[in-house]
Amino acid sequence: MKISRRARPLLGALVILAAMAYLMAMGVSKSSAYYYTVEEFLSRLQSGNAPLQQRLRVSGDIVASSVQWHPKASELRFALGEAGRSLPVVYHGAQPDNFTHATSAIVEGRMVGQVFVADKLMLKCPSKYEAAAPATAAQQGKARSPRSDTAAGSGSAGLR
Amino acid sequence: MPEIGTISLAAALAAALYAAATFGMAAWRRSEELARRARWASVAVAALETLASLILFYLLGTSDFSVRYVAEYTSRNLPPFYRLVAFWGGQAGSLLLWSWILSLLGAVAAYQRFPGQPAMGFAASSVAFAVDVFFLLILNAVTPPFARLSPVPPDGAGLNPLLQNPGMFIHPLTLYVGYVAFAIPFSFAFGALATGNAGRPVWVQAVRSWTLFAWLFLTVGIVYGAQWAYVELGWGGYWGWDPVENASLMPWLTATAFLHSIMAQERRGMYKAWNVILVALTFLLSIFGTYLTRSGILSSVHAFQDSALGQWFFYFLAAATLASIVLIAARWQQLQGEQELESYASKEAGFLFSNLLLMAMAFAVILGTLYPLITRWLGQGEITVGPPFFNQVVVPLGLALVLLMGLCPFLGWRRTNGGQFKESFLAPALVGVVVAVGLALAGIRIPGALVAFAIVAFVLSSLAAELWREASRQALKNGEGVLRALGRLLARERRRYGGHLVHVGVAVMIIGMTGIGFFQVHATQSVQAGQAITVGGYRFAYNGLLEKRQPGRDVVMADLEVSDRQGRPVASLRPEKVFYPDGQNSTEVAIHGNLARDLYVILAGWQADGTTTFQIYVNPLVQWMWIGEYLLVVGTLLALWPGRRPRLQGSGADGAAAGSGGDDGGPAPAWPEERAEVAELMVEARDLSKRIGERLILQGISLQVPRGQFVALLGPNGAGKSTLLRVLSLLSPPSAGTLRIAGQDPLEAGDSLRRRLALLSHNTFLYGDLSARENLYLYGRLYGVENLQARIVQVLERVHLTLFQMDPVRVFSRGMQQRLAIARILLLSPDLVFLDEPYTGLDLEAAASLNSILAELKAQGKTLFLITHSFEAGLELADQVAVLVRGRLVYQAPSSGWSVEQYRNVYLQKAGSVK
Repeated sequence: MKISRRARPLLGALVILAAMAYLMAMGVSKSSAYYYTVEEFLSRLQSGNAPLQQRLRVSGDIVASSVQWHPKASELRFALGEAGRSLPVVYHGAQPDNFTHATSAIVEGRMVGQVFVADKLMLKCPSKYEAAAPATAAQQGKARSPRSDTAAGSGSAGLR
Repeated sequence: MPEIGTISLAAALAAALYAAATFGMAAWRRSEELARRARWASVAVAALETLASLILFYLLGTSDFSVRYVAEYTSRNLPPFYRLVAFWGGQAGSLLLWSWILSLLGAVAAYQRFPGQPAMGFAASSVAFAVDVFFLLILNAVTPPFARLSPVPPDGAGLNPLLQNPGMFIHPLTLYVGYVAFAIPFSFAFGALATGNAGRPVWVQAVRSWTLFAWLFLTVGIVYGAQWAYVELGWGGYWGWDPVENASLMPWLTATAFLHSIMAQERRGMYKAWNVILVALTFLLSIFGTYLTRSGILSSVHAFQDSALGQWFFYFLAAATLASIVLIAARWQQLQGEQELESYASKEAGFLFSNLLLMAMAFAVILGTLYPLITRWLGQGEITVGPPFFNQVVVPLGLALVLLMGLCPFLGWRRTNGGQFKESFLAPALVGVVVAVGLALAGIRIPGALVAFAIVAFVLSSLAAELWREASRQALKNGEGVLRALGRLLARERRRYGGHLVHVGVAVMIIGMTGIGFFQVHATQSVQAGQAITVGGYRFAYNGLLEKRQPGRDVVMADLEVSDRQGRPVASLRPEKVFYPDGQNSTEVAIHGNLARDLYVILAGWQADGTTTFQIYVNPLVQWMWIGEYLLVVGTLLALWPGRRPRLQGSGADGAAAGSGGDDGGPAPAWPEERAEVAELMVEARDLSKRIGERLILQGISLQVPRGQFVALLGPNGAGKSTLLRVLSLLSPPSAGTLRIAGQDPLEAGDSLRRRLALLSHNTFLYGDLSARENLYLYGRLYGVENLQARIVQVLERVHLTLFQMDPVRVFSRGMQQRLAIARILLLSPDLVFLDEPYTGLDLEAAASLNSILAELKAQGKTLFLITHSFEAGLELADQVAVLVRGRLVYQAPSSGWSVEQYRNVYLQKAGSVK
């Protein structure tokens, strides 16, 4: 088959585009997560239209009295929201630095029964510093870990 | 003191406004006078911002807590170094740093000269200072760094302990310089578009070196940031695909694309529109990144919400984008390429593919970063994508790009010789396959890793093979040792091999990325003292906790003894947790690294009963990333380093841009090293005479002219000046006497010597039926000029004949023919140039541009002879003057620095007395 000279670059671009579209679709399906605030998520749970089959990312305040740390099992339990209306979270991994100081967090994972099982935990610290940074932790080692400092992370401090 | 800071920032704003406006006017009216004033204003802006910055340093250093910024970011117990570094620890200070760097770079750019196209420089400076006006407006109106705090607190809040790290000094600084410096190429793009110079060589030179400069800093900022994150932040990785990280990657990708595709424009006049778009896009993306990370529109873990500031950035971004689009559209005609892509197996096509891949990566990064915004806008709710998305898309594209690096040295301009390609491609490809098979046999079964290592092996061997082949070729040609030839090749072709070294650095970095990406082993475990954790074949025996009190902090460390599979001790590691009096704490990772792997231990926490939790990573090959980083920096510096004696290019831009290597292989006729070896006398005549028919035209001419001298030859009509030039330029043999040119006897040296001479005379020796371009092409081919097409474009540009390049020369006026003949000299770049009344027929502007060309030739060390009757033009360059009367040299003397009066007197005395 002879392809005209003009059509060839177009064809090449199409091939690359198709490959990219495929890669991106795969990437999205692997790692996309719905993002809600805890209030939004709780009301969706109540009304039954939370996408429970999907990966979820929920942000909210940590209920201070709810924090339990079980070092033997490396298990951290706490609740997001406000006392009385909150989402129980379990996270397997080391307890992040400054967790006891943290006021709010972002968790990523899935709902298992009534509990949110997080494989990623990111903190925002109550800091007097404007520059103070959220800290993150993760079980997988691929994500941020127990340091209160992603702001100082690569690139970030320079951008402030 | 803070008041002086506030005032100097206000004054800087006024000066920047003045500079931007006056440079704009100067470009409009092409007024050097206005530009001179604007340059002073630009220096004033830089000086005022420097003053403001020094004051902020001073206030931080002396802990003046009456200033809000000082109180918010430092405290009394902060070590002096971090008090100063807190300059860029917060919003206002970092914006001041932006503006300060921009003013300094802008002032440097304002003093860059562009002979022939000064207006482009003026317009560019106008844009640069307009950008600075934006930052100064923010500094004056939105986030004043010198704002007061009342009542004055007894102590400041202090700097986030995590920012208290030596990396805090270098990382933000390099990243900032990178971001800010992109404003300069952007300004040049704007300036060139506005003054109709877009796509011209003068623009290419200016923009390329500035972009390379910015790129170097951004690259170091990014990689150093990754290294810092790895060593200091303690999460076992180096790159998290966070929006803030992505923000720095986006402009880096487009700038990288630009640095490649600009070469196709430089050599062949291709991809002009695309290059302008890339320059604009790079700057817009660096502003966009800043906007993203400061406005809080992304629900990132980095929530630095400041919507007021975000709005400013948004409007600035919108205005700059709109202006770029309008200007590029308006000049679209001028941005049409001069050449078509001839073959998909060529360097030009290689650049095209690399651009496609880089743009695809940039697109993926932007899409992934903005995904939550897009889905929200589509009514889907906020959906975020994580690292798997980016890895999935960017890693394969990146590997394809690296593969291309290995192919590029074999590709030729225009089209590639298939046979040669196969021959040189085969060995490196084989190395790649052998490495992959070897690793597979050794037990590595991860396809991605095998592919990555095979590609790295291919690239490294292909670059090495190319270098070796080239060096052997040179060695054979010059009859010298291969190593010596290699050294000279590297010294000479800095730009080319600098680029290759950057590629080596990237390939080496890929080794590290592959190692940590595919083979990282990790465990989180809680143990008691006396117990041990085994990870990746290493045994970490825990001996217990130690405590150390230091001023301002308490350090708790865990003592671990590491041994390998055979039980041999490897290292003792002490990961720490540091507690600060204010209740914050931070973690210090313990790393034991060698080229094979890093052992990386984090002390995660402990309980009252002594149970201590560790996170342990074994990260194979990770140090190769940092080694690759250093290679990359060295390579870029090599490419940026100004050439000793840049060959003639279209503009007077710096040598880094001009000293382009012969990518086609085969060196240009005369290299500096070779020149140094030949005799210092360029022209040596003894007792020359010339008889035409019965008449003795020249008699007893003896003349010695050292290399690099400019000789003015004066004399009345009929004195024999033109004949002398014809004899010296070997067009006509002397009747008697001896002549040596460059230490050689012309009769023995033959053509090789003739190639180094050029004569510009009454007869232009141009072909009337050929177009200007064809004439140059013909002569270029005759003389074996390298990169002929691109050079033709440059020299036509230089003599302002671009518009007429397709017209046959017979329709040219005398002046235009003369200009074309001048272009031919530029093209052939001879060492010895004879000019016989070159100003004939030139208008004022063309005469002025000839002056600057002569100055440039002289600066390049060419030897020049000039016959002129006009005492106004050209003589100011002369090093010696000779007066010829009736075939005899009656006067010869050094004349540098002479006034026109002195020449006139000598002429009248010597020529007049004989008459």
